Amino acid sequence: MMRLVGRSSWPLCAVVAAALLCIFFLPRTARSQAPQVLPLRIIVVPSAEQAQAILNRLQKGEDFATVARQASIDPTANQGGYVGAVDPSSLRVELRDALKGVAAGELTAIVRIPAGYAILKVLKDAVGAEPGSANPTRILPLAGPGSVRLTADISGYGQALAAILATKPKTDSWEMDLRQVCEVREQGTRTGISKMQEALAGGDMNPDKTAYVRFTLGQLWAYQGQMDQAIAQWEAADRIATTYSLSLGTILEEALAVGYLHRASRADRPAPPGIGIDDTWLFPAHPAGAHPNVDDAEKAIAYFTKSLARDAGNYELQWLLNVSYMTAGWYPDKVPRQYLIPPDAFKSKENIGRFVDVAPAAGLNIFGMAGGAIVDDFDNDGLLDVVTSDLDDCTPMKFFHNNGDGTFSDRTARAKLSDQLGGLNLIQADYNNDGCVDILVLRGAWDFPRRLSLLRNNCDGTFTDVTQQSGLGKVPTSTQTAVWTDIDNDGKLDLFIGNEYSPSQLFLNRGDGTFEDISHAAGIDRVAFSKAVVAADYDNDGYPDFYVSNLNGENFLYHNNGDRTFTEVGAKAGVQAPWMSFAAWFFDYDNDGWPDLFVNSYANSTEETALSYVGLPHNAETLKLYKNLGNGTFKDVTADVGLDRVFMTMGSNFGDIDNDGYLDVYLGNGNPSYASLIPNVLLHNREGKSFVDVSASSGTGAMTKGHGVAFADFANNGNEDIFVVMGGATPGDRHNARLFENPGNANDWITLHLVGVKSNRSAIGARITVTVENGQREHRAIYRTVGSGGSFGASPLEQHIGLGKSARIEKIEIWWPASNTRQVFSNVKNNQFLEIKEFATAYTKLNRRTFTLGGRRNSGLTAASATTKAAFHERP
Amino acid sequence: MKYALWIAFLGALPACAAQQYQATGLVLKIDIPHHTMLVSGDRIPGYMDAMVMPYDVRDSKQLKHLEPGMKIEFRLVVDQDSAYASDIHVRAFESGERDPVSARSLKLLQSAMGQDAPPLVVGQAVPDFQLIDQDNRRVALSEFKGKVIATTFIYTRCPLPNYCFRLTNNFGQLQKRFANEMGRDLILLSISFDPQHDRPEVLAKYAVIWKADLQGWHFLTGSLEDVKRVCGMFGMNFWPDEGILTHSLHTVVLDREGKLVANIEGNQFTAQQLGDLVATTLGQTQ
Repeated sequence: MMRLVGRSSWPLCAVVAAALLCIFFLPRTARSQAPQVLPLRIIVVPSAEQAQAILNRLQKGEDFATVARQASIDPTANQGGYVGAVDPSSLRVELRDALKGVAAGELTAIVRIPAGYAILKVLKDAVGAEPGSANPTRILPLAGPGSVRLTADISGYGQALAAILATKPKTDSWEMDLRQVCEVREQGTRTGISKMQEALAGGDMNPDKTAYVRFTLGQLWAYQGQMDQAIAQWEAADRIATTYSLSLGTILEEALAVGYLHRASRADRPAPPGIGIDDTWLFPAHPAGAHPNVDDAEKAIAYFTKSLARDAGNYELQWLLNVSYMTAGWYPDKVPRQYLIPPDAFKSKENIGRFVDVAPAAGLNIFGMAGGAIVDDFDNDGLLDVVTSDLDDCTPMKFFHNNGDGTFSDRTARAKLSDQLGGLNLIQADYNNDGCVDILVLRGAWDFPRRLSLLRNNCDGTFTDVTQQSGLGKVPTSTQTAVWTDIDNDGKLDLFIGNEYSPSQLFLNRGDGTFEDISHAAGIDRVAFSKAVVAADYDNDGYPDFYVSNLNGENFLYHNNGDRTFTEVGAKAGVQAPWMSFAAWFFDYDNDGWPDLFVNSYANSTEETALSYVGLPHNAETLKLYKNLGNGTFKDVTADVGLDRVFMTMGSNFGDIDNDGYLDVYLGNGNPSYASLIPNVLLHNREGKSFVDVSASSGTGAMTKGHGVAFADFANNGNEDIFVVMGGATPGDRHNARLFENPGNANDWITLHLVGVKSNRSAIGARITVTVENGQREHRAIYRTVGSGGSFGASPLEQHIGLGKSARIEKIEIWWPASNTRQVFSNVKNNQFLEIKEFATAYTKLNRRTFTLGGRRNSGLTAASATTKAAFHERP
Repeated sequence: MKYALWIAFLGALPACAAQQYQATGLVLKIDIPHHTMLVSGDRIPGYMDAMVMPYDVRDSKQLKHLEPGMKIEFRLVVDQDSAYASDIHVRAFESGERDPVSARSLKLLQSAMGQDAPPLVVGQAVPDFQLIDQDNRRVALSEFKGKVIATTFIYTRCPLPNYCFRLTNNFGQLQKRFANEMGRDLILLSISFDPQHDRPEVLAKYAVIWKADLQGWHFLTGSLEDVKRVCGMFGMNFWPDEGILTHSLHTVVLDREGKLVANIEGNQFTAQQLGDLVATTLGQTQ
């Protein structure tokens, strides 16, 4: 009798559901051990009948390798079906299940996979001549990542980009002119729309083409945020697809479902901006506060239900159906039982208090697309200001001055920043050592090269664009990542830029306001699709090293040789994964004095993220946490600390939200598609041993995507709040930035503002060790390195350090990179702001006034209703 | 010849059993004067396995719109003493999957915006082009004159097993099937449309993964402009999409004179069928 595993999605679904029970309870123990590898051979054939015939032959004793050579259509055929020694958890779920309980020397049953019908044999030993592990490219159809369902592409992002690229001028210099880039972008989308309208008006197209034109036009309207027009086009196309049974129908159904859901959450009436996992939305404890567009949500429900009836194993659809019920206020009661994701799946296992969004109350009215964020003190008044950018090439960056009373004022024009259009990311540093923090704007990510902007802070509340004279602005590139650090310890901050599809660039600071390009001489100009560059002295040899995180490729670790050259040691150090890397950072998550490495994985799949969120088995690669072993190598501890999860993370950063001395993490999740409705995540670091998801209990799990993230003590009250630029990659996916106010805690803290003298003035790269005694506990050391945190979002350069309960500071030790000197201050009082100057024998206490964010306000509810108002402040 | 036996078998069917079957397959060759077409047929469940067969087509008008490489569906009529094909329909590549849908939507938009040159048609001579191979050598198409050439378009970072991987795996199976002809009579070209990433050294590694016989299988890259121009000849398009590429799928076969024999769009054919097309172009009897 032939046995098929997962022949259709229903039995597969059942297998998955059954597997869930085991996996739900097992993974921490089972997966934290070293991965078990199985040497495997495989035969794949096109039909079930052939597979059965081959299975019969094998069972009669024919040699597996010989049969594989003859009959297999898998690329492994020419080495007798030998896959390699494989960690079964890296295989797609059908194969994983089929291998369960199969002993060495045995065969699996016939397994249906998209490439055909497979039979595996577990070998007793690895085959000597073959390398120990399988090549991910060659075994793609067998591997988990090869079975990842990418998020349905509903947002028009691709169509708009194609239209823009088709419109761009042939001249060279246009990318250097920000106004012209804005014009090209607007004209491209407009032309695309009018061409599709002309095609429709012209008639004379068969139904199939007409449906495609309407689908495409709908996508372009969706990009623009004109959901009424988008839905009208998709509905018209869907009618054609239904009449003529076009295969486009399945996509149209999902486009309509997603389109209605997108419109439901953005109704033009008082409604919260987007959907947050908070009481109002995901768990409708007091739905009176919400005014969703129930009609649209109902239509979304109808379309998702229809799609699910056809494609029951599609967890993206099931997740979005639940989100649609949440949007309507009908979750969980009205969700059909077979599709219900129970509320328990969203519950946090820990509660560290509830954060409240105070951005609107504080006057931080930022409504836009994806963008960068810097929180720092740009005018040296002891108050943290906010600078943001917007991916939209026609939107200027914003400068919000902290008024010191819990409110902020938009001083963009006064700061002379109104001409600075676009930019996905920003970083800050005092590159010219004049005592005022400067800004670098990074542009061109994901699409086409553009210029950067180096904005010199004039120390009078204004900035000057010095890109050209600095020597940084010679060639436009596509970038969203750069890091300031002093590579040669000469006291001047150098700049390392990661680019997409062009060499990374290293600029040596000459100290006269200009930079020298030493990329090639430094051996650091590899070409990759780089999404993060970060710096830390990972081997504590006194020189900062670089880590480069690449999308679709191995990551690089550049060891600084101390002579302005670098050696790439990623493979040796064991830090090349994930394959789809995005934002990254060094931080010492376990306070052992060695910088560890956190690398996000941008798995482009709502389904995988949703599966992972509710604890079901997933196929996509997880983020990586690498623990620095102190010997030049790192250990992958992702599973050990409970982070073997899929998040689809973009902007993200770290800070200490509960002042326990251990750094916590906020992840902004999603992708351009309106179908990527997944929550942002706050991960609480429990003493360097595990990270616990507190998104739901903390009220920070916004569903509005997330880009620049900064942790900062805005109110000078000793608690770090979380500022997040929300919004997606299209004008139709604008959202409000949020400032999640920390509810406070009973732990102690200290904030250190370091000023370099021989070292760079920003003190970037200076290392802080705070030794504390917590009540009865033994003393411990807490480690920080001065910098703005992760690669996507910039926290203040001054370091806020949580000290834990009843902390007595025994000593604070500072190591300065350029002078290679140490300062030690003993018995420092906790819970205060200090300035420490390089070489100084004493520190200065900074007097900072504490205030309430949002000024005088009665409760979180006021803040929430203010949010409502700001949500629909559209660009004129 | 294998198919002769089948014709004998079909003819030997009892008189009462005039049967009709719905059949599909890949067109290998059209012979209008003789009213036949050679098809690499898909399996007809309960009737016959996948195999190459010549079919009589009584209404030869139906042959006029056919070209090698086309996927067709037809009715196979088997009566007392003959078998013939009727009701032939070309099945253009159509897919409701995310990536082919995006590629088609983008192509439509790009054409409407005037960014497309018409691709070569079957029978046209393919203009010479030069690209760089995995060993950083300049390779010109004209070097391979006198040999049959199969070409497909890939990028090595492609994360989806059903697209680039599948097309490359087809070539892997061609290499196995035509081991004797590789390099001497048959050339395989895998052209990357991600030339910024797929530099020669990347392609060299990729070739090792596929255990490619580099005498006959070349992995090509070049400047973005050069690659675009070559892709354009065959209606091959690609667009950036958040770090990966949305792209169309084409596999083309050129005859010994360098003329375009077939341009197969999509992934809805088997390596066996592609091999049959190559064998036919090589002049091998099947």
